[in-house]
Amino acid sequence: MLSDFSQWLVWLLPLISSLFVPVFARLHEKARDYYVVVVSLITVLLAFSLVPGAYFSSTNPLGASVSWIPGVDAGVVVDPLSVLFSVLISFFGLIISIYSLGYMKGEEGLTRYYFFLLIFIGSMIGLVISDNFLQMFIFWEMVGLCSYSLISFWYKRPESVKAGAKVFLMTRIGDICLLGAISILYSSLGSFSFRIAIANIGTIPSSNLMAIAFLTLGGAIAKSAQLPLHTWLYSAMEAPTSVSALLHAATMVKAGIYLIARFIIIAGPLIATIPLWLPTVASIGVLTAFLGATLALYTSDIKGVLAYSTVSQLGFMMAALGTSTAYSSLGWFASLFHMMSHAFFEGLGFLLAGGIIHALGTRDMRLMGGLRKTMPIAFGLSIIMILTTSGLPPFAAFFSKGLVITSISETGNLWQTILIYATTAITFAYSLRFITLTFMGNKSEHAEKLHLHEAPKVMLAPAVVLAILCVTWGFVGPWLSTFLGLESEVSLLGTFLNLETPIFLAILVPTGLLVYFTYYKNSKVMMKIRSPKNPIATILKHGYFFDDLYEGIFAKGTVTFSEGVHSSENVALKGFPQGVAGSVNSFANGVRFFENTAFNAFPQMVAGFVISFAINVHKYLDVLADQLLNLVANRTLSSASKIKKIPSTSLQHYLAAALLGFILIIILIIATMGV
Amino acid sequence: MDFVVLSLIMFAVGVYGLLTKRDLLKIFISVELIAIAATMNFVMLASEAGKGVGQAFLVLAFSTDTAVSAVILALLVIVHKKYGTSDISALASTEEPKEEEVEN
Repeated sequence: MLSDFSQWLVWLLPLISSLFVPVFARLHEKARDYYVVVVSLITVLLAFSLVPGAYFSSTNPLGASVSWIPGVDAGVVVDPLSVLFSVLISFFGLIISIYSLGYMKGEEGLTRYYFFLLIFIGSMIGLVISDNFLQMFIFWEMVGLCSYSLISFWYKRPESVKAGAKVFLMTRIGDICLLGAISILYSSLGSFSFRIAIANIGTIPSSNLMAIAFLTLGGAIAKSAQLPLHTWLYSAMEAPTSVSALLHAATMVKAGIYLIARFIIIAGPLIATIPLWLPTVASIGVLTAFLGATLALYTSDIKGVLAYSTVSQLGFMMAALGTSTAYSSLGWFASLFHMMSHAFFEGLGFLLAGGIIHALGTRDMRLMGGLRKTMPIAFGLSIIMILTTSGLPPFAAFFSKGLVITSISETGNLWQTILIYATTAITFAYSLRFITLTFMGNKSEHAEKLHLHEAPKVMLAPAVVLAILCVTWGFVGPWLSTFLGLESEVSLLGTFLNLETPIFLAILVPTGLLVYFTYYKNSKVMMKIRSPKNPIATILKHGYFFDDLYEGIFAKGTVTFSEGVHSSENVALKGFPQGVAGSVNSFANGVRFFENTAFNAFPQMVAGFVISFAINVHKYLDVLADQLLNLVANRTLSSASKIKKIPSTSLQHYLAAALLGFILIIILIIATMGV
Repeated sequence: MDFVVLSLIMFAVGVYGLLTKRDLLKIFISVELIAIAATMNFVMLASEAGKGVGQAFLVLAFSTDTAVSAVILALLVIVHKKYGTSDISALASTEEPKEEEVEN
């Protein structure tokens, strides 16, 4: 069967192909670019070939494993969750590798870029398709590495380098949490495998299970940019826009969502018994959604709006996961459904923003405006994008966001329901603001100076594909719910007739008016709120002071601490030895004085004797040694010249010896492995 | 469990050096100390468990570590040649030298 091979190849192919990117770059630049597109195309086909297998055997997940290191098997798991993610990742990989043909054209260091792009696609699919925690963790780290090196792609810009380091460090916090969770799981079960974990989850003591659950949540929080570690996603916008679209909107930030969704499958019925866990997930999700949305209202960076929008939408997904008590419940499905539609609309947003940045050469939205005439296609696509983002019918997010809201309101938690409704309203506001600042109004001075143009076709085509998906994806809902094995029916009509829909639509009106009055009527009240003196504006400008806090406590704290230790070390390690040295010196001086007076004559006598003896010995020995040395040297020279004449096979000997040594080491390793 | 204490001490010394030293080479030595502490802990625990896999991985860990060290040392030499210093606080504030200077 095809899926027997494709379940391995789908992640091995991009990983292995990445090694050949430099080879193709040697041939021709074009060859390298198209090679990457072809590899990602094959990966998409491989990923799609997994769909039937997962669809027809959703009760009993497929998979395979080979023995790897003793005690741990490397394996793949093919179930609806992993296949859904694999398809999304490979599809976006293809979209972005095509988009990069236009967006990254003529950049320096593209070989490096494509190399990491392929590694990223491979390791991200590997992350979601692994059947044990250890393998997943390795890919989890590799994804982080790719994120770091792609953010710092323009390594000559200090901001990019700093942003890369910041992102790497902040996601590292989550990595440590996840590693802790995996270690506790291993010590409780003696295995990393998902399958064994599902079977034996009941045997883990409840305190250990709680630790595992919360540490896993910590890992997800850092990777999926949830409160309080959400600030890295904004810094990650220093990356090229294509990278932001792939890593920081569509796929990598979903790793945390995947982890929680997977954990809910593994914990099974026990998930609801872990104290405080589900409510924590839901609360973090709702708060992140709300804070992210409010931050997106204020930033003037075009990618910043999209970054905070991503943070907010990830909060939606997390919140929906927090309401799911089993993997077949509505919240679980709603989260994954929204995950897909978010990938489409946010990806579209980034691709469009990339086109705008490409044309204008700036990311500041205050320098934009009036682009609708010069970039009509991008304008049309942006309208689709904002309508989908704000969840208006009949676009994709209407269905998925509706399900998320339904699953949250079904839990009956009042403050979460109110906040999530407020967030959808704010979402509408920041989407309107986005399109107002970039496309509406008059051309800014900055835009007037440039000769503006629509983005090239190779950049528009992927955007059009995503826009089509934005429009149609919502109707896939019922099919997707059967694919993911949801218990209750999801019907399209039901979503329209839901009680939430009219509330949802009604709540968009006031925020829409708010934006209208701010940007079209220049209302004085709104201007006052937005003025830099207003405390709300200050709070939003600083992103709720999270970064200032981290900088103040952790960065400054570490520097101050290390400087303090450094200076105290100086005092201790330089001052103390100086004191010791001083006392030793004075003691020595005293001894020398005594010595000089007492034993002055004796040493001089001895010295005189030694010197005269040495001179005599030297005289005779010198002659002898010279003779001997000359003899040896002559012998060596003559024999060396003899050897030289014989055709030498020493090189082969060296090779043979090296090979023998290598084989010996291999045998040693094999022998020790066998023990 | 002596070796755990030993590797803990090595780790602590490494972290201490990482925090207090300003010279790139010394920082690198601290990083190496931390890496070696981890490797040693790993291999000793593996040999306690009575399996040879730990030793096999030690060979792997050492060879990768050596390769990494070689690259880092090469980078250190380049940095020193380019900027004339290996003090990190001095390096943080130095400007990028002009292209002609780099080529020399």
